[in-house]
Amino acid sequence: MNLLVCFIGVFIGTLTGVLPGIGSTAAMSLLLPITFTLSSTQSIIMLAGIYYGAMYGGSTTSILLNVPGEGTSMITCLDGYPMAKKGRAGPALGISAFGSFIAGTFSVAMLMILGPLLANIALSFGPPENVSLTFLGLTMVTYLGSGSMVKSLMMAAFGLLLGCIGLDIVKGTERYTLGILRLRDGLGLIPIMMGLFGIAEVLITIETSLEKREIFKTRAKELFPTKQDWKDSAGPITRGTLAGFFLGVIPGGGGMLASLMSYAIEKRISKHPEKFGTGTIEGVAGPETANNAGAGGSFIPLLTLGIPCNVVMAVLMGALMIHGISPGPLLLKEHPNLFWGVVGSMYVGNVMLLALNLPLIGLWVKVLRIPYSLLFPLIFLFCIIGSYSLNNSLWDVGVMTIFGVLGYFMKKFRYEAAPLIMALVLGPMFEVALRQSLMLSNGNPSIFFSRPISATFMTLSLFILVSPLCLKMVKKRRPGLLKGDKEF
Amino acid sequence: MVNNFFNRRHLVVLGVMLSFTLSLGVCHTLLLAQSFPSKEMELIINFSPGGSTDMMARMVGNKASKHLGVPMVFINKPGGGGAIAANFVANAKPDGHTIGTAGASNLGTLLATGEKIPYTLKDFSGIARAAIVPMIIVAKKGRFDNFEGFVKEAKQKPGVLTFGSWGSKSTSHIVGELINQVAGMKVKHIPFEGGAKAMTAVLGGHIDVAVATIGTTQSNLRAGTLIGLAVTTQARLDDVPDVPTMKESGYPEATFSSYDGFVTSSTVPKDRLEIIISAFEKSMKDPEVQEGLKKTGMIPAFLRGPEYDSFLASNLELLRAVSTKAGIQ
Repeated sequence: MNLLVCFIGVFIGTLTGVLPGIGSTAAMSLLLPITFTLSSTQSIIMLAGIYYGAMYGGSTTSILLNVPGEGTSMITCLDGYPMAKKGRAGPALGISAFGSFIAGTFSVAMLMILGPLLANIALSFGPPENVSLTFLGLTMVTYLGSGSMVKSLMMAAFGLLLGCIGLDIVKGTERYTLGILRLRDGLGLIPIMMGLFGIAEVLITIETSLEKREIFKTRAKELFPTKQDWKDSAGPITRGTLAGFFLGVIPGGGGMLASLMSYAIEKRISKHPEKFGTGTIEGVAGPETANNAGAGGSFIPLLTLGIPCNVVMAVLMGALMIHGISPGPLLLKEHPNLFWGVVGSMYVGNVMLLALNLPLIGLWVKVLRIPYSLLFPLIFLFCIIGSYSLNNSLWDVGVMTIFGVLGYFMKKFRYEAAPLIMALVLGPMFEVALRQSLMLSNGNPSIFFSRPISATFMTLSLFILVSPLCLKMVKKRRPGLLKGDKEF
Repeated sequence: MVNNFFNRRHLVVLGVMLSFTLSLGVCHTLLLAQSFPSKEMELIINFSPGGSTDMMARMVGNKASKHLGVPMVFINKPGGGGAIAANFVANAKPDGHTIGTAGASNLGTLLATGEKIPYTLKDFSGIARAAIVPMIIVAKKGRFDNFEGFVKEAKQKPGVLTFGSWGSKSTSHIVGELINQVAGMKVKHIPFEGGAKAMTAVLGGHIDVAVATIGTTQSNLRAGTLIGLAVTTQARLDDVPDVPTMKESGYPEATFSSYDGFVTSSTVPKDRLEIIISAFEKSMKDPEVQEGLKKTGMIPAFLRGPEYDSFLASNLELLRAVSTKAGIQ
């Protein structure tokens, strides 16, 4: 019975992950009433399955259609979609499925072994640590761009500005809300992302004739990753798993930060960084693994401390409470069946998802063969339904449309959307943490360096910022010493 | 010939058809007026799924739907701190089929702290108060022995100790400042995005205390990683019988809990409102509903429509007074 529930969960999760915008939160809230009739263990198994499934499914639309289903899938678009355009959609989907499986299994294992210990380490991340972490993320934002550095920075700055719209966290002052009630919460990440990536991509693509050329070289050369792909992906998968897992454990760390870091790390240590953005397998393997590891990691604060670190975990917590169970430090002692049931189902769920997704790759690749004239209205339809379903409001559809048009012009003039989105996410996080920290320290900025964890990340960020300059200086003195530097 | 074409018989037939149609229309309206509700009802929830308001709304709403005899459709319209949903309900069609959740957030703190909100209390008619949400002051285990110890240290070091709330200008912020005022302390306020984040900060030792709900903190309280210093209710709570109330600690003025309930637009006719109110009354009396509410850390506390109206009004005044005094405007 538990197995059946698990399967239903992952199946529905995959479906909702594939449909852009209709994220796991919407699915979970729709299915919450059903969980009232199931036992507590079964409800959690199903809801967790939905969460996992959505993680797997979200990468599908990112790779095939450049439409990120969830925030965390955005990074996958950067190299996944170009791979699909080159006829390598199969390997991309395959690597992301396998990577997700490895990450999921790893994070469940870590949950079992080190859960409570990790949770306590995560607690030591307070506002100053969040500042340093998001600062690190912000320094890596430009790694997302593959074109002009200046343009990436402009887009990042624009993203920071867009992130300011809304209420200020400390005083509640209205910023750029223009008296509109909706803007008090800001513009909303998902509609902007769907607009800049999905809608804009469609608008650009339909500029070229619909019949003349195949948009996707769908004479798919391979359906599965080649040996070379595996060799190239081994490193990214390992690094992505570790990075993603630890970032997921930190309350509020977020899957987006995990996939960003993974992408940036891979690009930085790659022997061919300029190929990123044109369809490298590392650019898909790393981030996809990281966001699944992050998903697994985010269960730890919930199950061991009773702290939900994202919206999905909050829904899970609500479902547990309805059954009279408060997740927290006593969960393992008081409800061991539940705890181990959930852990076991995560293993099983991962296997099920792999088994579900691999055969589907052939099917998904066939989707790309649909003539674009039929495909793009479907994309529009799903995007509109998806963005409406976020808040049951047409406002989000409007935001998506406006940013879709904006994104079209951005693509025309080669301004990239990824740095914008990343700055839009990280900016507010940075500001909140910064103001909290300064309130704690009475305005003394040394708080960021006096605490060990924070100091580490800050030093790392400053190093990353400064090192290209140092390298350039070294290069000037000894020209030809360093290979592979990017030009402006 | 023209005269014969349109003769008396035709007129009669026309007249019969017309009167038949008219009477159908009248019957339709009469039927509608007599059987309310005549189609599914919409319950607009002002927060995202999974939260305590959402849980409460679904539990109570499901039972009420059975008493009303029509399906209840739950629509989450989060945003604006609950203002979006409230605005929607206030401007909905006055046929009584649209109701919504409202409480200390959208009909309390938002209106009390001088925000530019496009509605007032007068735009709503209360259906029922469903729950009281008590607040508890928590600290990390070992940090303070009890509330007196906290007050003592706060007075010794004004401006050094910190308390976390679940949001700027929220009920927890206002209650925190209220406690500052009545106890004569200067504990710094640090806003967090949600009760869970504030609790995390306390557990990690980054802030000294937090003003949170039982729902968020109950598991850690039971495990002993957090201790409760005081609760803001009239009487001690069953969940945490060892934690004294603010009244017992010597500060009866700091007795204030958050609240949540259901409202509809004030344009809905009184007879329909009565039908809705009685359905919710029956729902609230259901032991399953009461159990469910208690499990999520809320106290079932039913108040009938008109009483909820006065309750909302008086609490709004109180919130206004405190927030002005604390400078939260």
